[in-house]
Amino acid sequence: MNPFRGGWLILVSLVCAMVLVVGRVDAAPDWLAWLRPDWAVAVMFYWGVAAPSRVGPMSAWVVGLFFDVLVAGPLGLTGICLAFATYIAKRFEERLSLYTVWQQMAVVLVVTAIIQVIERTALFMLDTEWSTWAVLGTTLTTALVYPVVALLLTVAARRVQVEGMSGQLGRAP
Amino acid sequence: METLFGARQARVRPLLLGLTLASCVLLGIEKAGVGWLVPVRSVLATTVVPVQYVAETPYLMMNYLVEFFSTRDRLMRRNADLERDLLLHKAETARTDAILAENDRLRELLNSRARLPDDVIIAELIEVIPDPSRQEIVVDKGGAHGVAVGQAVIDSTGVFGQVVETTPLTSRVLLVTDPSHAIPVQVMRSQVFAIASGGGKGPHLLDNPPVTTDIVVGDDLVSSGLGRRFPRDYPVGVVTRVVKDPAQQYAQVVWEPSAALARSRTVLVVLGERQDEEQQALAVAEAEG
Repeated sequence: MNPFRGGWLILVSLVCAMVLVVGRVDAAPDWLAWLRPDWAVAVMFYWGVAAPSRVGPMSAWVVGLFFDVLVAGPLGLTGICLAFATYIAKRFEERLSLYTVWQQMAVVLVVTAIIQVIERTALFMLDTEWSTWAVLGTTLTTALVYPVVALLLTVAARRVQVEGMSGQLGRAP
Repeated sequence: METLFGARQARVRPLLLGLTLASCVLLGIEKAGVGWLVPVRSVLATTVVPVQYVAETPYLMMNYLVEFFSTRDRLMRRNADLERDLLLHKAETARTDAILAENDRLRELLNSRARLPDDVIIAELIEVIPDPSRQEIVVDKGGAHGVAVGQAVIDSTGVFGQVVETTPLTSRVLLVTDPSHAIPVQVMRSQVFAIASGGGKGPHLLDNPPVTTDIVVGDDLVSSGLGRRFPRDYPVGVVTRVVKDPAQQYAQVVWEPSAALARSRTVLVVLGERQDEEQQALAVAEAEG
């Protein structure tokens, strides 16, 4: 009834994140590209906080490899970013799971900022153009979409009863 | 509680360090450019192909829906338009064929080999790489269809780019406008050789043409075939701005790609010169008149 103890929902959410990462609007203006949220970090951080026993740095790193090939980026880069996000989630697990979604949003802002700087620096060292706008834009939009991601995933996780959910997120409303 | 917490930290932190190290090794291999990761990438990239198709569904569906909802009248009108276009193009091709044949005869006189027609395969766009500082796309033909790294990609109006990575089912194409791309070109009017570099979103420049170069606004650039990566004589772009300061050693020449980079969904991958015997015999016969 509930394959992988609800883990399929985690997989489905990651596939959705992948689709959002490469999805595009043909007529969109160029500057919109700088505002693309880091969907992978938003989704992975949520699961890191909500179900720390199911998602950890190791699984995040492996997931990162798939994001890397999807955006044709260097292998291992998204991996370390996602591993860092889930590490923060695990490190402050007790506190984060008691936070409101708005407080979590602030944490996401800081985490994404750090991740963006790491990611863009690595890309710069691999001969891609540096872009401060991408760092700022992505950081802001990731924090902005996080409450929506968290809300949708919390509702879905309660419905399919993902096991290993922690704190108030796992409790019935 | 404190000890429990501490015990878990003790496990997670070395894990993060280990993963960081693993990532650094992978990035180092990437930076070194030795290509050890190519097979790994190929396998991983094959697994994400369904995701690419799902993300592209709105555009893939569009053609289908447009066809589904169009009236008989509109279809007939479209058909008439296409038939007219086909007729025009056929007439033009016939003329081009005559010119090509003449060209080959002249080449024969010069003791150089007759050029064979290029073999192409039609490919459909399935992903635009989301990083705005890169100009790359993914198309739905790969190694299984005969596509290989280095092959040129064109559309109906000009050179699109080149294949930089293949998986069995897809391949990644670097566009001529990417900052890391350059293509050897020839100015059609004056036969001057140059190299056209991509400029990302910004202006695309020719690489250091001497200030005395015979080049003016409106000149057509075609691929020169030097370097043997791109086939000869495909349109690459048009010169849109020329700044010649006599005090400078080099002119500043801006060009615009002639391929519809942002609009084409269907492209052609040039697999190379046609190799089958029959065609070869035909080309030779044609060359001999």
